[in-house]
Amino acid sequence: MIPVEFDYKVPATLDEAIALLASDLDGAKVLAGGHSLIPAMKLRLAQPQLLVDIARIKSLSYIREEGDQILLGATTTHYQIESSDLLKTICPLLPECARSIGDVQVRNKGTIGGSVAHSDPAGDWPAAVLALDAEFVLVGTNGERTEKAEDFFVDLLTTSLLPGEILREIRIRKPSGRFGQAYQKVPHPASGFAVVGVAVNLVLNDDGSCKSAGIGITGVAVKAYRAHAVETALAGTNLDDNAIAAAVEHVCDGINPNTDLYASGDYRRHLAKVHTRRAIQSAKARVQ
Amino acid sequence: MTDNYVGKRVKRTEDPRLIRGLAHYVDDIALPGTLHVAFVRSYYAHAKINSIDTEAARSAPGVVAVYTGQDVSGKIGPVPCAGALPDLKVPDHRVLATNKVYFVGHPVAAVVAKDRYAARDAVDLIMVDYEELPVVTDVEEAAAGGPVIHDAFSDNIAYRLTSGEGDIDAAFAAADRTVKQRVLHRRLAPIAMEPRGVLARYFPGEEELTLWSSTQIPHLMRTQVALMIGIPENKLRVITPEVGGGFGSKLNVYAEEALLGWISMQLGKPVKWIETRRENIQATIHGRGQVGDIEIAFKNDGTLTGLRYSVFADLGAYHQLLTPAIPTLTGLMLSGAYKIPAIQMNITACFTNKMATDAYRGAGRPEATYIVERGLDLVAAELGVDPAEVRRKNFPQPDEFPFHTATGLDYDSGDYETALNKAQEIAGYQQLREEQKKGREEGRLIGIGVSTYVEICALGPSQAMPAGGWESATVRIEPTGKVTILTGASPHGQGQETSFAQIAADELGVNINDVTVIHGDTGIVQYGIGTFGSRATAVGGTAVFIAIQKLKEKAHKIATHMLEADASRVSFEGGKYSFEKAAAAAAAGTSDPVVPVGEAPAGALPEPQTDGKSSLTLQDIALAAHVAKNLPPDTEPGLSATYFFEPKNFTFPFGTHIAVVEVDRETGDIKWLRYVAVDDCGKVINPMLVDGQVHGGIVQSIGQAMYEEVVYDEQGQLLTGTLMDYAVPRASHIPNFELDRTETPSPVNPLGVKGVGEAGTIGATPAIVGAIVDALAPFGVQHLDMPIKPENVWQIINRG
Amino acid sequence: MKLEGSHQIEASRERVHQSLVNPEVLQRCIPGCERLEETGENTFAATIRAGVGSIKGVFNGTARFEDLREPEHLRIVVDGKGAPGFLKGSSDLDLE
Repeated sequence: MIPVEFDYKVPATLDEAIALLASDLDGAKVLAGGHSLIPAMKLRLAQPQLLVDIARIKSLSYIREEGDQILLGATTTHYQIESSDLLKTICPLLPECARSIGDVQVRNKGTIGGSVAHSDPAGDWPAAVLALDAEFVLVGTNGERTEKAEDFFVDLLTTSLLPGEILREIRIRKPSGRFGQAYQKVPHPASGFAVVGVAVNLVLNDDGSCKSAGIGITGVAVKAYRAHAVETALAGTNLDDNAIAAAVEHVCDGINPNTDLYASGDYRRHLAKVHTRRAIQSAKARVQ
Repeated sequence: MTDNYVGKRVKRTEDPRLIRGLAHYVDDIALPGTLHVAFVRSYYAHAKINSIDTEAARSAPGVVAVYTGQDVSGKIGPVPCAGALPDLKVPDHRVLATNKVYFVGHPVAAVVAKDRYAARDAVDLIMVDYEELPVVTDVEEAAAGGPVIHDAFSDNIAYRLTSGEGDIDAAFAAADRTVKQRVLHRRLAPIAMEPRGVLARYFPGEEELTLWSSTQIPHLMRTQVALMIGIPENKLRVITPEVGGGFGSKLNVYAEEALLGWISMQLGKPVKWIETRRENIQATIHGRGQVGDIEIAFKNDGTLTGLRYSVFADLGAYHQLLTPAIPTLTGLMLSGAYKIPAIQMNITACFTNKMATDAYRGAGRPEATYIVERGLDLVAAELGVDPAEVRRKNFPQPDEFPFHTATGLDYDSGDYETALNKAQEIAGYQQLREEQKKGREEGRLIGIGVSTYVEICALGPSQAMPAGGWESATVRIEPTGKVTILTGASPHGQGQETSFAQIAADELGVNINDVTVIHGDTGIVQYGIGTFGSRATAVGGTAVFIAIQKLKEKAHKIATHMLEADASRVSFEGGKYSFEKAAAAAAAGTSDPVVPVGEAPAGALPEPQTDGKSSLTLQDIALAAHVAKNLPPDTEPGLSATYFFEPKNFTFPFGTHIAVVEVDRETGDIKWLRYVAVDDCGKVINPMLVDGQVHGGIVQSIGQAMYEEVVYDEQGQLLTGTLMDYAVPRASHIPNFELDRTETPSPVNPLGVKGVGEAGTIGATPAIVGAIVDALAPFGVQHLDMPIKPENVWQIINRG
Repeated sequence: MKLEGSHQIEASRERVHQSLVNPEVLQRCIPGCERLEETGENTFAATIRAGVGSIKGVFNGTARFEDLREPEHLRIVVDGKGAPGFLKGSSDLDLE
């Protein structure tokens, strides 16, 4: 369990980090919390030549409320999000999702940016950021650009990050109005990753009917995805049990759910329906 | 005994160093100049080796040597197998593959380098030209034919064996009814927290080799490795440092142990290898691996008349130390806790292209108990009676012990009904059944599983063991009164440093802190058999106990002499030998200065002051025995005794476990409601240690029942190669345990101890599976194979 | 891993089949295939750089055609070894 030899640099600023990546586009890799990358390196499945450690760049780690936005620095740890009183108040889906990740030690090192950039098909953050319709700020030698979450997750372990780009910030529109959120997860008994993970951001009209729903699903497909069909089916309904039950039937529309040693595709589909229903009901119950 | 310590929850003397990170495991031992070894292991399950190109590796930075099978064949003997069975096929398995590989993980080459990084990097530079061969992974297919794994043999059947007593055909013919069930025991990985590791240091001048190894059997391993590498046994010293768990997986002699010893002899330098977790799952022995049919014949009133088990045993690609013997242990325990007049076991044991199976906590007996208990559940279902009642009906009564079984054993002592009653009382069994009934009406799926088990341990009479079943102890009292125990047992988490000290402290009337227990060093400790099969206390502790009695006999003789008294008037109590001269002493005005044990007198050892005394402490005696100025005639100086205890029988702990679960109708999730265990391990030395053993055993059972499975695909690729896939239970997966005990002493040893290390693993799985099956009874389910995952449950609920 | 899919190609089946059995074309069709050299009838030596995300490796081995039924079917079997282990795959192509 020893990685292939690599160079290791600790840039002091984001610009330095970008320059280091640019110096070896093929062989350099960003290191944040390391809990996705280092296991792969130990198994020698990943063999980067240069690790650019951005975890110590303090300016990349923050939780801020600015106007109608929540801004999360990419190297904010899961633990920081889990324990943020601010987020528990203004966007509880984030701490709830954070708390479900790995274990205490992992949460103290792992970062939301790293998790999102890794795009593990069973990672928790992708589901939550999709449900919240997050936007990512990506920086490279060509400057900055933003990408919507749904466009960012491209395929299995693949994002739209260009070689040399670093994800530096996650922007989330602050939930407003009558909203309720929930994260439901079926953890794999060995890895702790999501066999199925459902993040729901529900917004109600004044009359209690569904104004909009953001539903992110992880663990089911090659990447996390938005369950648009469910969202559409819920919109405008009064969110009674029948409406929810009917809507969640569509949670795997167009998706071929994964089969692995632990669970078949059929069972995953079933779990996705059950837990999407439970997540919606939980979110609904939490609406103020 | 003064009963100060035995029977009490004495905190372990092992723990402070373990908790504070001050213990030494193999990897903590740092010798200057140590070279590191990394292995090239096959990633094919079955392939010819056409060639191995080691050029690039040999010239890589930091590499000192590279060895392949060609280099060592003829120089290191085969990996030993101690299982002797009629017509057993024993493949010639060497420490490194020679002309072919036959399981994923099979070591092919060893790189020796100046550090572990250079060694690991050089592994990637070795190119092996493999020619794939057809793979056989299914044990039933291996029995029926399939590609032959070992060229020396004509098929993959390692042996066939039929065992058991009684007229089985008559039993089935005479039965009112029978039940039959196919049962699977999937492979498990023992997953000791510390993987294996070896450090070998050869001193070319003294021609002495020291091997530090994370092992359960230092002496046995020493003998075997000495033979394998051709060094005189008395020039080889094996030391077990702290061992982070074994569970049977380190009751073995592994290729790496011999190879590292040999390499150190070649290079004259210390060499070290520490197993990675991946290697551990690939190439440390697996447990279980049986698939078979259980058939039970019985009368309409539930009386059992016969039991037959026909099984295919998946031995893996070759034999480790006890591989072929493990299924035979299953055969021994097929009577379970019941009177069954006729029993037959038919084993077909086969080679497959997977890692060898061998002893894993329970070693063949969990399989037996599981089969019998599942069978009893089927009998109960067939008759429409409560599963606890059909068991009770077939128990032997306490006055029927020693109880002879149709598997050829004599159970030492037992009171199965009392344990069952106690467990049912704690669980509130009747109320549970009522809650279950009510729950079913409400659509809740609650299940109750009962297991009344008995198991065989404290291995065992040497007649029945491959390399001796006795255990040794030397007990010494040093001149300053400290007690040193050298035990041939080899604890690796069980706590005998504490429990043996408890026994000694009570027997000798000393403070427990003045007792030191030494084990795991063949240079210090007399030959011993080691720790496995729940034997350390029952056999090893008994050796300690009897050695102490011999010691006390000698001390009594010395005391009598020094007190100038009549032997019959000298008694031993509270650590003192006293003579009933109290009245005379009082009249003479002499007091009895007592040197408290634990305080060494300052300066030179003083002369023992015995004039006029009417009592002597054990420390006085010890000092006198060494100074030797006033010993009785015909008495050797010194105060130590050695005993090799040969047990006349195994012991048979037993108990009842009751598991209660509820199943989620929507998802199939299994939720714990209760877990009650009443275990009888005979006399209990330290209840805290016993509880710990039961906890651990139950957790490993939960692992087998619900989470764990070593999976190979049809190509023999190991799919559960890391702990990301192989699901060892976490704290969140286990229920609160409600534990209690009965204490039925064993007549086999003077301590009355039976052993408990494996009992939890043996008793629990059938209770757990029984509970889940019971929860699904409304769907007509009679049996489910382990591990039972939520999806398995959901499929039943969904289709029904 | 099992992957399934279908594609519409504006060309005749014959033309597509013939193209696919041409090593120069085939090499461009296999992602990460850096080298494809004919070594025998329907057999090729291949070097494939394969990976997903940050998990990458180079595999050396063979590719060969099986079950050639012009113009409707072919199978490509790939077998390679590399530092991360070995890679084996087969691809059944049905042209309709």
